[in-house]
Amino acid sequence: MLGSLSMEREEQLTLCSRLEDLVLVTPWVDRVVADLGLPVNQRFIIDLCLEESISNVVRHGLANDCNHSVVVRSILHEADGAQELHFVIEDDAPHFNPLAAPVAQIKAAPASIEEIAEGGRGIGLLRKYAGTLRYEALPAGNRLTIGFTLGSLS
Amino acid sequence: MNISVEEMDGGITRVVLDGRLDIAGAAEVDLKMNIIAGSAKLLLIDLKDVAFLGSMGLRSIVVPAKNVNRRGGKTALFAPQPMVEEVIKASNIDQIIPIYHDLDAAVQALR
Repeated sequence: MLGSLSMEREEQLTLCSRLEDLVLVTPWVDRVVADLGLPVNQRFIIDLCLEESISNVVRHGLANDCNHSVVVRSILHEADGAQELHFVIEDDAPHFNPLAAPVAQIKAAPASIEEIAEGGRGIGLLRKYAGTLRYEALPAGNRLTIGFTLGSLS
Repeated sequence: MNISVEEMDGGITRVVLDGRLDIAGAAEVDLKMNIIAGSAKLLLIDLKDVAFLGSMGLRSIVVPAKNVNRRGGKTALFAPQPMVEEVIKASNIDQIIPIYHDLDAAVQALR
C-alpha cells in the first residue's frame, strides 16, 4: 500500500515599505507559479489580493516608510495530487486586522456618480476574491495568510 | 502603462489605456487622465488592452469620470477583459459608468 505523497515549496520576497517596491511583486509571483499552469483568472486574482493587502500595509500601516520591511512568503503545498498556494505577509506595523476592519459600503444601485466612492475598495476586494484569509496579531506586527486552492477561483 | 488619446466624431474623446492598471500603472496615467477629463465632455475609456485592474486603477477611472460629470458630460467604458470587467462590476461602478463591448453602441450612448 502506497502512503500519501506530500511536498512543500517555499519562497520569500522582502520589500522595503514603499509603494514603488510593489512592482517587484508580480515578477516574483511569475517565478513562484511559473510551472503551475494557472488559469489567467486565478493569476489575476492572486495579483489583486497581493496588491490590495501589501499596499494597505505600506500606505496605512507603515506610512510608506522604507525603514520598515514587508516580508512575503509563498508556500506551495502538494498532497495526493491537490495543490494549495498560500501567501504569508508579515510586517511590523501597528496591529490591523483586515478581516475585521469596516469596509466602504458599496451601494448596490448608486443614484449618481457622486455616490461612487473614489477609493477604499481594497479590503473589500481582498475579502471577496481571496480563497481563504487568516489574520494573526504578532507581538510586534501582523501576519496575513492568503490561500488559494489551485485550479479553482476561490 | 501606456495612454493615448483619440478625438472621435461627435466630440467624443477616446482614451486608450494599455498595460496593467495596478498601483504603478495608475500613478503613471492619473495626471494625464485628469488633464483629459478637465476638458473632455464625452469620455470613452478604452480598456480592451488593460490586463489588470486593482482598487487604485478603479480610482483612476472614477475620478476623471466624476470630473467630466460635474461639467455636464458623460463617460463610458469600452471592452474590458473579463476579470477587469468583473472587478468593475463588483464595485457597481458599471451601474453609473456603463460598459460597452460594441463601439457603435458606446458612441450612441455617449452622444
